[in-house]
Amino acid sequence: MIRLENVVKHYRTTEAVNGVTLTINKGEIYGIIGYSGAGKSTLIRMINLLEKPTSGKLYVNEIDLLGLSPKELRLQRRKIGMIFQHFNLLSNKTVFDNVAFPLKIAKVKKDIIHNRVTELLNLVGVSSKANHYPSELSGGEKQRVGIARALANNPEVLLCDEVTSALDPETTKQILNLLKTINEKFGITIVLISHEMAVVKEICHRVAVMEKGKIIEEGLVISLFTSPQTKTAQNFVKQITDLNGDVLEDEKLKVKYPEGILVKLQYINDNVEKPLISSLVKMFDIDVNILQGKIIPTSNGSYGLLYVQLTGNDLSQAIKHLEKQGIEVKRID
Amino acid sequence: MTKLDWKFMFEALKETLYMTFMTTFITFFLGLGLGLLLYFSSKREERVFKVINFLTSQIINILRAIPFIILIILLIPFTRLIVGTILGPTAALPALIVGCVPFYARLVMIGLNEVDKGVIEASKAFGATNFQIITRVLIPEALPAIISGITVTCVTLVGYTALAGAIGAGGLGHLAYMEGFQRGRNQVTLVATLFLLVIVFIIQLTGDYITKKVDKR
Ligand SMILES: Nc1ncnc2c1ncn2[C@@H]1O[C@H](COP(=O)(O)OP(=O)(O)OP(=O)(O)O)[C@@H](O)[C@H]1O
Ligand SMILES: [Mg+2]
Repeated sequence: MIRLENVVKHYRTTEAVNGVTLTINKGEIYGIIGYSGAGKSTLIRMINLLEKPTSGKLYVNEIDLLGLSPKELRLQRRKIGMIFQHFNLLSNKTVFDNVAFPLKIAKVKKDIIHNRVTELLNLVGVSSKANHYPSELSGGEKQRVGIARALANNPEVLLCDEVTSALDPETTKQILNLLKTINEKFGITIVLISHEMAVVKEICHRVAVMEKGKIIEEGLVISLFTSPQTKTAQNFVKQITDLNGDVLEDEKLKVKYPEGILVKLQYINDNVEKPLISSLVKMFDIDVNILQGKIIPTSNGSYGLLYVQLTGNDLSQAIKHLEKQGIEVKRID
Repeated sequence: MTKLDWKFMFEALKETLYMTFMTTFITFFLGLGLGLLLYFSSKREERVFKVINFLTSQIINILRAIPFIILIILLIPFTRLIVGTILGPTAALPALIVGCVPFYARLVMIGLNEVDKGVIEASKAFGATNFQIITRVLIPEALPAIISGITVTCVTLVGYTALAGAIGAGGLGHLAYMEGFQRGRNQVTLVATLFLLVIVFIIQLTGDYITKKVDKR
């Protein structure tokens, strides 16, 4: 659906994007995560050519956007919706007129506009606010209007740049769910930028980690949890896997629980037979003491992280059994 | 004390209103156009636009720096050329317009600059043409500034008409100066001033009301 080939964007003094090649499939929710200044916004803004690449190739729906005339580009842009961190609604137009805006631009007939806008406002759940102005809405409502507006022309792609960064966690969840619904219902391909792993793991199927203008790692969201390759990826994963609260670090755990062996188990939930611990105790002559842990649901399955203390006689067999099930077992000494 | 000649008074009022209305009308469109030109040329990297922007800005600065009374005198040959005379309300229009347009163009440009860049970018992302961005985004979003700008310009303009009146344009200023001051009839000066004040108040109140009405931010 979207293909970038060695795309580069240099500003006078900064090299914002430094040779990015990636393919985003139709119907996919693709996340791009990275710290501030990594070049994420520059990258996503090149997908609809709000920013013109210095070099490289760029295809959306097999159309070479860089080869289009200004007029053809405007037509193509209608198929690429975009929503923004700060909503970017017209402050002097009502919710209804904001959503109608892309349709009026496209010279759609008035009665069709009316029906379409009504339908969209229902879809995103702000139909009661149709005649309000943006200043009278909450952040979450503004973003819903932003989403409705982006969908007005039935786009095939939806670009989202930090669209939940100005919202509280609860509203963030609602907006993400709305995006997910839209993705599933209409098969719209979504590109979502964030600096929060919590956002990416919530809805993205695949994710790219961006740093200094380059994509340094890419794959399924769950793979990022189980085997992050780069330090940056590990840090992003840690945003989620960090067991908050009264957590002991590895060394301190060992001091507190000196008996038997301490292991850290990492696994993808779906691959593991369900009563993991109890079957372990039944099958082997051991005791299992769960010390701390977390299970993190992602779009491609749940990622589990458990710290357990094993005591008893069949320790090595028990560990072998765990490994056979695809669980990553790491001893803490 | 002689009686006030109300017929003269209303005649003068009509002339002042005529000058104010005509100038405001023309200034609104010319100023808006010039403001848009300034705005767009300042946004572009190309050399042509930089030159256009530089020239327009400088001309505006110079015109705004010249005191209005001097501007009238400087424009006498021009006025005579296009109006045919330098006396009467119509003859005052060129000077009034040249005095007001640069001022208003600046205000328009400031208003346009205040429009959220993100909103313009969003419109581009949805495939809007430059013309659609002007008519459907920039002007509607900057409308409060555009209206409050024309209000301020209009109030200044009433003062200008009085000044122009004193040197031959007619209107309340002419009456106050020629009939009132020169002939020592304070009553005339007083009433003419009162009329001018009322005009200014009405303009200001109406302008403020409309500005508030269109501002939904
Ligand atoms: N118009 C511009 N002119 C010059 N430099 C720019 C421009 N836009 C972005 N940059 C630079 O490019 C780099 C990448 O910026 P970008 O906005 O893409 O980062 P980002 O990953 O989106 O960061 P954030 O998470 O803070 O939004 C930064 O160093 C920034 O200063
Ligand atoms: Mg950004």
